[in-house]
Amino acid sequence: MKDTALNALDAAVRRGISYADVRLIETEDRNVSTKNGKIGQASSSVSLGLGIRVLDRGSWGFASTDELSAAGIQAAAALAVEIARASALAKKHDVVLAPEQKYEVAWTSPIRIDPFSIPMDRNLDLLFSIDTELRRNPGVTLAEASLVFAKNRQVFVSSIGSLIDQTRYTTGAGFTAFSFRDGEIQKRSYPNSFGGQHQLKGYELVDELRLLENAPRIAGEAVALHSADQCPEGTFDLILDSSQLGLQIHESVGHPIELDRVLGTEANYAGMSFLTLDKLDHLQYGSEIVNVVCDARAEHGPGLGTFAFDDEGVPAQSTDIIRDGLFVGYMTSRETASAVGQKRSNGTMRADGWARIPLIRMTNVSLKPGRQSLDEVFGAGHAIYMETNKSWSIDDKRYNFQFGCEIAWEIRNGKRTRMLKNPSYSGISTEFWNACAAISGPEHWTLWGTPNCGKGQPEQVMGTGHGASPSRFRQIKIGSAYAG
Amino acid sequence: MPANGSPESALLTRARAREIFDAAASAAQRLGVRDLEAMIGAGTHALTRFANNTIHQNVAERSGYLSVRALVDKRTARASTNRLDAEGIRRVVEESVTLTRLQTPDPELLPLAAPAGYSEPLRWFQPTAAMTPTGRAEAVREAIRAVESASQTAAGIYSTGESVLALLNTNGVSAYHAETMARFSITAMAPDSSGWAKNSSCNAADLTPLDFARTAARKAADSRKPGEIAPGRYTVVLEPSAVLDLVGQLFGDFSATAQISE
Repeated sequence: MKDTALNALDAAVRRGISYADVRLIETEDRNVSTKNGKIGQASSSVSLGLGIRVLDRGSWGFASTDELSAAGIQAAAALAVEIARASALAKKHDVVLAPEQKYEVAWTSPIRIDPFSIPMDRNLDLLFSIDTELRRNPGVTLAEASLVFAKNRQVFVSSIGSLIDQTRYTTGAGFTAFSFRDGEIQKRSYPNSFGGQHQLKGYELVDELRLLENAPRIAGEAVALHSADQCPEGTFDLILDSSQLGLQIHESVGHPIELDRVLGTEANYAGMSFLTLDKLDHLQYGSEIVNVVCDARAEHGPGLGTFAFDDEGVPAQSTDIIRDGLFVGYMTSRETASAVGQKRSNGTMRADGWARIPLIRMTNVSLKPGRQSLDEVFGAGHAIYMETNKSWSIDDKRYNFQFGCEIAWEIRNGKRTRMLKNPSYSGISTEFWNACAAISGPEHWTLWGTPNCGKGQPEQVMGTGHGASPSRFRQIKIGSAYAG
Repeated sequence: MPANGSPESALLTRARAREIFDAAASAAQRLGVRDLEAMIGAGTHALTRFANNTIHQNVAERSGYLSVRALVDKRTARASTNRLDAEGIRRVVEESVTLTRLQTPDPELLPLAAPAGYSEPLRWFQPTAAMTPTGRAEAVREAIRAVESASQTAAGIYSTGESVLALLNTNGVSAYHAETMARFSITAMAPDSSGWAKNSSCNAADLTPLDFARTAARKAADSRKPGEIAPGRYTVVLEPSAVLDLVGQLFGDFSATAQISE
């Protein structure tokens, strides 16, 4: 693979460009799912190809191909340069890249069990066992369970001399119980909705999740929701479990801090950001206990945003985003770093495969654990506690949001009382984070994986990580989504 | 595979599709499997993206794939690859057969489709397939100028591409379709307002980026100085593209499997 990548780089450099990089990627995926006692999906795929990015006449060009013959590589290199020169027809200024060192590194994400070494019949046995447990409850009308495995090897070479060979394994697992009764659908998912938990791990993640032993509880909750009271509408204290808080971070912190979005390059599609440049180091984003980092390093944990180098050859870093409530950092690239006075990119450029160009993407954007115990978070007095995302909506500047969750409980004097169905809450990003009153400690902190973050044109789907622990927010608007 | 009808694309000729399918079917036969379906595809897609009145991203991709589905005793599974050499074809068929044999029979699984007539609409246009980066950049430059001349800021995309899909099976189905596609969308932004317009067509000649840029700029100008309205229930009127976006969200719910899942 290295020779092919270097040949492609040479093909671009020989055309007299000012910078080039090449990513040659081989991916292997396996998906298996069950649905009400049958196999829902059993599929696998492999893909090999490369993308060539060049900077010429101050503009970008990019071409990708899976035709890896000498002629195919030459054609892709020529097209990348032709595209860069065409881009220069409508440019306002030259692209200038922040300096970066060259690296020669090989890195593989640590795994204990290669997920591709597990026989398919063992995977199916697990999923069918979960399916059986879920449907043992007669109120469950649909049971879905899934496993997703991926291996991605990427060789990155650039005209500054880098040669970075990275291999990442990811695993995802989860299940959902649906209960349909009298025209109403209720559902419960474990350990999270939309496919469960996803991490930079091998098959050991599946073992750690204790899927089978949680199935009866989840099935029971899905059915019990039909008999639960409707979540009340009003302004109450809100407690979020760590998975919902992970998505809250994703939407109301992660997206707004993408500097390309701030600078307007996503304006026609994903939107822009309320975090205009004047707010850096000035905006009180959250209360003083709120600390958020963007951390791609292995030390942060096995997140979907964990790597050794980003897709333009910049080492993984940890960047403070919110420090003691103050907004202090954006996610940047080599092209955009100078816009916020950085001398170097903080390493967040990622592409969803060989066919696509890297964009600024969340790595692991996480709320650091707090100092409170879980008892202190649940505290004395009244609150609504919500678990597991069911729906999300946020405006194109990432400011005004509404989330629905699968289940809630009313909390009185620190204890769960009645179950509530169809819970939802809404708010303004900065008002919400400034209402953060308590964050539980590291023993309750989980690094969640969001495997389906969409951005860019052509659209790219990226996996991101979000660490969080259950937290309390004062006087949040609750219940309006289902108020009619 | 009929020799007339859909134009043939050099990305994946009918003959090449047949060659790939025959190799896959032979590999399946060696594994004792008679029923095999293959989807063989190829495509190019180029997209010029602009924002802040400048082209900031400009990309092109070329890819192909083979996706095979074996059927054995009311069981089926799919495997896909973009490695279309003999070894890649053999391995993807092996994977599909292995996955298929691990499954439990599904009495509701339909057999492979039988040959049938089908219409072949003309959706492939040579000038669209041959669109160059310069052609897109010049159209974008004109669109940007139209928005800039209204003291507004433009962002959007102009994309062109070509795709081919061949579907063949061991029952004798042999279908082939090639089409081109062009899309243009633009947002014109003013200090307190914006306007948006888009269009798509399989013939780039039907797209008029400059007209759409002017439409977006006019919308932005017409919506200056917006006022607040109180939350409540209102009758709203949506333009066709907004209706399409809403209807598009429903497409997944129209499938029969959604009904079965209830």
